[in-house]
Amino acid sequence: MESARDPRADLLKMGPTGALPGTPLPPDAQDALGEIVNIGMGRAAAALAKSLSVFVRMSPPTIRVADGGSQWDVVLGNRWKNRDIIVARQGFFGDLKGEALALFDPDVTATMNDLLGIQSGAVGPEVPLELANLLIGTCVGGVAAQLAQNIGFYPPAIVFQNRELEAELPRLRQRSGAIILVAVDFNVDARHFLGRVVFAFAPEETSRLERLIAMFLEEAFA
Amino acid sequence: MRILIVDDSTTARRFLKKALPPQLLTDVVEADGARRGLEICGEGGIDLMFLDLTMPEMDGYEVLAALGGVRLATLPVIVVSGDVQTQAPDKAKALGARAFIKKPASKEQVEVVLREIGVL
Repeated sequence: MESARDPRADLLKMGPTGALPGTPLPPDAQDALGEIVNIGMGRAAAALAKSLSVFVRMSPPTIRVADGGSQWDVVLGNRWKNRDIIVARQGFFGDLKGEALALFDPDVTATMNDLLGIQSGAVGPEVPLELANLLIGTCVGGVAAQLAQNIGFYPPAIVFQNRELEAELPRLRQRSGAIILVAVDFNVDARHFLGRVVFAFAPEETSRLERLIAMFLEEAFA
Repeated sequence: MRILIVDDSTTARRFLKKALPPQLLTDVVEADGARRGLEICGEGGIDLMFLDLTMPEMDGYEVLAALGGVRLATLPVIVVSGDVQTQAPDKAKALGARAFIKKPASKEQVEVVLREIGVL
């Protein structure tokens, strides 16, 4: 179910007329973005580890340019297909604009309560929303900070819960232009899979992002 | 001294090379993944390894475990990672890493660590 929110953040709903075509990031810029994300997601893991008093393991970031939408399948991953999941999303605005998704197993609340040692903890969407807020905020915020960009976040909202991704995928695939997609997995001690964060930069942001990455590299290697 | 840098990111390897003291830049070998890094180690001749933790297929912790205590007794490994969890350095050191540097590595950080482990 879509929630009412600022339309500027609704990049995932952009149709062919709502997006400007972007230019794909060159491979070296994608590699640099991967390293920038690597550092950003490290901060997200640290925030989560501190909250849960656990050790968090991360996957290397997957970075794709979604030309026509097929890459959505890559970043969303097979793990999430043919099963019920929870998807939350959170828009970001300011110097960089985009939207992030957080994908969780339906039992994420029980997992979190288990990790926190709570027998009857929060129920409903509260836990996935809090977790999405933490992971997306620190991860995307960490990326923006390294690029010296100021961004803010809209409140997270549940896109759907306990439904199969396939039912929602066509809507996510229908993108125009080039959208830079980044996906990172967070696991706790290899026992619990916590979730996947996918963030998408707006189509009109690709050339700006490329310039920012070039500046970042120029400064780093000056 | 022959140095091996193991990191799947070209950018990260460039960052690290830029942070290395000039006298250590004469013989640097790069591996773009854990398995390649282990292969190069297996060939011998490596005196110091810089190792990323978050890599596809096999992460830095698994590399340390694969190298094992005997090999790590003679091959100093410095972990260079964006993982800023407080447990990460302890976990890496428990597996045999000599030191831990947070990404992005600076010249100062690298120099301090190299002095600490007796390379400089």
